[in-house]
Amino acid sequence: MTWIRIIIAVIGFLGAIFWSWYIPAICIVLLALRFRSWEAILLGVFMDLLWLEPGGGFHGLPLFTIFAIVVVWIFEPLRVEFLS
Amino acid sequence: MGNGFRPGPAPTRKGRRQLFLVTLLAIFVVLLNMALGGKVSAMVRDVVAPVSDFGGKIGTAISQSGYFSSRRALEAQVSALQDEVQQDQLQAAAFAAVEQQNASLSSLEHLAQTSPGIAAPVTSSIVSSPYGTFTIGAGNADGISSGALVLSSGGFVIGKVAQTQAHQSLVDELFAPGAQTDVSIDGAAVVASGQGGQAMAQVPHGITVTQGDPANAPDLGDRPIGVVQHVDSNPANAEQAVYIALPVSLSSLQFVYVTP
Repeated sequence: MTWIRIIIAVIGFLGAIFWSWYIPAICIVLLALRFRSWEAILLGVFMDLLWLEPGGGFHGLPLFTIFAIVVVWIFEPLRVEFLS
Repeated sequence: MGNGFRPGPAPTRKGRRQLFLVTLLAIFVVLLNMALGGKVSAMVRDVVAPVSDFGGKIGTAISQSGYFSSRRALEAQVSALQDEVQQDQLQAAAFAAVEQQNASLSSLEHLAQTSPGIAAPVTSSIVSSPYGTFTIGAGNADGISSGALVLSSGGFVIGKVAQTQAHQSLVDELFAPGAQTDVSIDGAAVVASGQGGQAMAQVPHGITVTQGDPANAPDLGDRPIGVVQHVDSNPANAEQAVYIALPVSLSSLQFVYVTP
């Protein structure tokens, strides 16, 4: 399973640079659904560091970081219950 | 019955602790970036820029090699047809905008010729950013400062420079989601709200707005920011919704012109 996790993470990071923003978003959800994935949080931070203008739109809120943290932790009970 | 919050076995607790530490680290990095005015993100962009550039070259090489020729041919055909439709609809609009711009600027032609500016390559994907930003390959070492206007080759204002580094700058699109710009459409002063790729403005019913009318931004040197693409004049609403778009596709831009 580790290689799936790595592939999804790599796709997410490449998507953050080269493709549309929803590819990293999907990768974050996929990683968080199946794995206790710290790289999903890093991917969210990476998106915000790469694209967010400090103090810009959305009041400068790091939406991807917030999204990644929420998704990773909201799926924690689900992962523990069904996938551990 | 299972409970997600029960104490799990040791590896579970360890993994959860690890995740918690990464979460704290992420929050710390984001807060640090905010406190330093975006210096961390500037460093990340400096690291990513060569990767992005290298990836772009690989993409171009693969595309030109003909490996995906059938797919490429179809994409080219679809793109050509879409461009044709778009050109038919917006060519007249673009001409009107240019005509109006020419009329208003003809007396200032000598100033326009002397206004400083620099052509800069677009160095990132336009569609990757969820915040309506992209990077250009020129920075404060090239005389670019925050707030400089970024123009398309047709003279339309695409955005403003938001953050500069030595040889790279982050541009905030005018049509980024949530961005607001004061514009003038057919003499009506309204606020255009960015929706990502286009903007929407509420114009009173008394003012006649037609497709193709230019939208100028008085705060940006009265330059055009787009043309009216669609007018939703439902009489049930107090105001008519006017949708503004650029007559060119942002994704097709390779170079932009940056002027203070």
